[in-house]
Amino acid sequence: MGNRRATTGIATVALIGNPNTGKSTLFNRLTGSRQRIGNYPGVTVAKKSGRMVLDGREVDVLDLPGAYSLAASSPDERISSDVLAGRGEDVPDLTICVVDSRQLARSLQLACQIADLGVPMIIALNFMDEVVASGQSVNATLLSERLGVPVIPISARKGQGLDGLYRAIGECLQTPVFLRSPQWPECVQTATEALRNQLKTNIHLSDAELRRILFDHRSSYLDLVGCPDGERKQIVEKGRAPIREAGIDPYSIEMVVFQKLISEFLEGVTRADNHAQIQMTGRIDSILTHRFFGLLIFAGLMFLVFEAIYTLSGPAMDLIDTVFSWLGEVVGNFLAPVPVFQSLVCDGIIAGAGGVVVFLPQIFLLFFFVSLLEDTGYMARAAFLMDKLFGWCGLNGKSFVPLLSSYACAVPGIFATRTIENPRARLVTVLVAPLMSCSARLPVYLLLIGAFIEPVWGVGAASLTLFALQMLGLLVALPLAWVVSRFIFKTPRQPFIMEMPPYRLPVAKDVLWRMWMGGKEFLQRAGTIIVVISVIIWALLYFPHKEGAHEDGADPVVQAEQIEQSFLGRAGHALQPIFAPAGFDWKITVGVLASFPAREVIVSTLGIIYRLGGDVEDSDGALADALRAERWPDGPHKGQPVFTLPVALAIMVFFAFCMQCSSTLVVIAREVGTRYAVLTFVYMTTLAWVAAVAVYQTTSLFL
Amino acid sequence: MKKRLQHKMDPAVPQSTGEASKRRRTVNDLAPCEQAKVTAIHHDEGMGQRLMSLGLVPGCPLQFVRSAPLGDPLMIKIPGCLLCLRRAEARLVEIEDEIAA
Repeated sequence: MGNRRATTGIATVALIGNPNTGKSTLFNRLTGSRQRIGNYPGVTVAKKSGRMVLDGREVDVLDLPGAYSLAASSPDERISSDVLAGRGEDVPDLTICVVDSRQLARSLQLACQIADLGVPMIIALNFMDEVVASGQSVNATLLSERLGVPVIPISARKGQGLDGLYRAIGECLQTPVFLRSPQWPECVQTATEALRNQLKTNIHLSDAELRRILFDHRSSYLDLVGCPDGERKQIVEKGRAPIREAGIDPYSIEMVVFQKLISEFLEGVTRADNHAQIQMTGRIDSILTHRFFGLLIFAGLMFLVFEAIYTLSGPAMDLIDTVFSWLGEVVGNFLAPVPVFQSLVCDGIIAGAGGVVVFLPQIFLLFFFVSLLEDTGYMARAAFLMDKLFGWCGLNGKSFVPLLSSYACAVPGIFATRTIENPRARLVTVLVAPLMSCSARLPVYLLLIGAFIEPVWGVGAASLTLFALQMLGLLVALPLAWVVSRFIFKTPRQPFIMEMPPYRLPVAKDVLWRMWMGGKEFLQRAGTIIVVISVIIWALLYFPHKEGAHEDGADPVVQAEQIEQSFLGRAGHALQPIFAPAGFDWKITVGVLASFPAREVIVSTLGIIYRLGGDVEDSDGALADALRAERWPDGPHKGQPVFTLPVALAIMVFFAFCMQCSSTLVVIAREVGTRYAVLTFVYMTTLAWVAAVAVYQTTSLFL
Repeated sequence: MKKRLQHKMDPAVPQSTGEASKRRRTVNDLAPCEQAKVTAIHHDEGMGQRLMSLGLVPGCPLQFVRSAPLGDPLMIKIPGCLLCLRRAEARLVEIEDEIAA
């Protein structure tokens, strides 16, 4: 606690603003560190700080979480106002309120709330370039006179107006300036005093903080003073009494006072000349949100996006695979004298790195489409069209695109949840996204359907089974999301209020920037961990080592024996009883275990286990024949085929539900927190086991 | 009602009261393209405050644009912006006809 400037001579400047006001971009501009752009609304409150140099002196910059209001019903939401009120470790000497000049009236509400706390402030008017481009104008000089603080027009994205901002920061650190704070009606002042007397606490709350308790439902400031739950309501209601006696609604008074003040501030400051744009938006909306054509166009567009992600990424991914296996070979030859080291580098590190890079084409494509959809304004329309389908189960219309992209791959899908502003809806979308049938599940479906369904039931049944398996995840995901929101998080029904932006043409540079940032973040935040995990799995399959098993052209029998006696193979033997109720023998169990890091390896693992070597493909008849020929060597089913139709179905259902993708887990942990990655792993694996057992047991009765 | 706000503690849906026996109209009752004026915002937890911060304050004119193809959510126009909100939130926004006001 306390002011650092007094002891170290380094001043602290805090950045605050509504979400999507370009606050992070400005932070990166000021501090020169470009690690994170985008919004991760409220799930974990990360403290971001950096340092800038101003006139040769260092200044700390603190990036506070974006919020629409200082109203806080949890300590998480209280962070910003606590820091500003001097309750944090660093007490800011100056606050820069980043304001969206396209939404001045709304953005200034937060500035008014901060002004009420009595902290020195300057206003950065961001997006001024866009305001000018759309034919509008904001008179910053006039606004500055009215507010009583410097108002600096900037474009954080283009780096315009920063000189003026630096100058203002320097001046205001010398002589603090304060925004004209609102005049509260007499009754509010009386109520503030009344509440102070009611609370009887040792912790000093400022008038502004007391007003938050009066104005907000369930204010978190009561947690701060340790107010007992039972007395809360009484104490607050007694405090509110003077406001109610004056015939005023305590929940509305703040906004009414602010909006009156803000309309005085803005009188004659803004000039809007965007009627053409608004008219155009109305006309486009009447088609794109039309009852029939709107849905039709939506379906067409989403199909295009999905097809593009799915098909365009294919050749690039193949190329990456080729490059990495070539690299593995070259490095492998070089390291041949030390087989352990050779295998570690080739099968562990290089293969692991290849497994990371292979996601890049899909991530780039997804970010390309997501930023295109968002920048044109269509994303909000898509959410408007789809909200009804997702609203009932705790998700919202914005969950659609992430879930759709998860059909290609859950990794970009989870990145795409960043577009969901509501933190709860985002979290639930992340939790169910891995259930969508991603492309890595396809090989195992094709192998087993080709071997056991098509020969018996025909092509029609085969494609129907494939379709059913693809839909299975989605059909389970929505009810599951409902259960999670309702009974696990116990969140009240979440609102869905969204501003529909006017339609605009996308800017190529912005789209490319977001693609680049998406890929870069994936590599930085998830890449290393995925490589580490693949090295661990490599070790579990390599040790204890059998001579000659990992050499080029090794005998398939030796390879099979190696996998059988490796740590993972032993685990497969040990765990087989757990999977016995689903009809799995130890070989299937090893295959399942070996697929936990990445489910797409199942086909090559089965190839090794069935002594065909690792190069088999799902379309290859040899593996299908080997599976059909497999017999139980002992036990109650001795001599009968292992792979019956119920077993094949159980395996496919298991793969449909199981969390067999370490990259997805790492991305979930990075995006929303490790405990949710653990939760996803546990629930999906349990669900997969239960479903596989249920399918095996019931179908065994009939087939 | 003039500038004084309606005193409302109860977050529930507006119901028929003694003095005016007919139910108060909300945004939910509007037909496409119909215009109206906000008369009061009801509070359901922090929802009312959120609506007000978006500019839906008493006295604000609004136009119901259309509902989504599946009936929910709704698109409404207020000065300076186009909003999308669900019926569950729209019922908190009480309105009266532009002409009547």
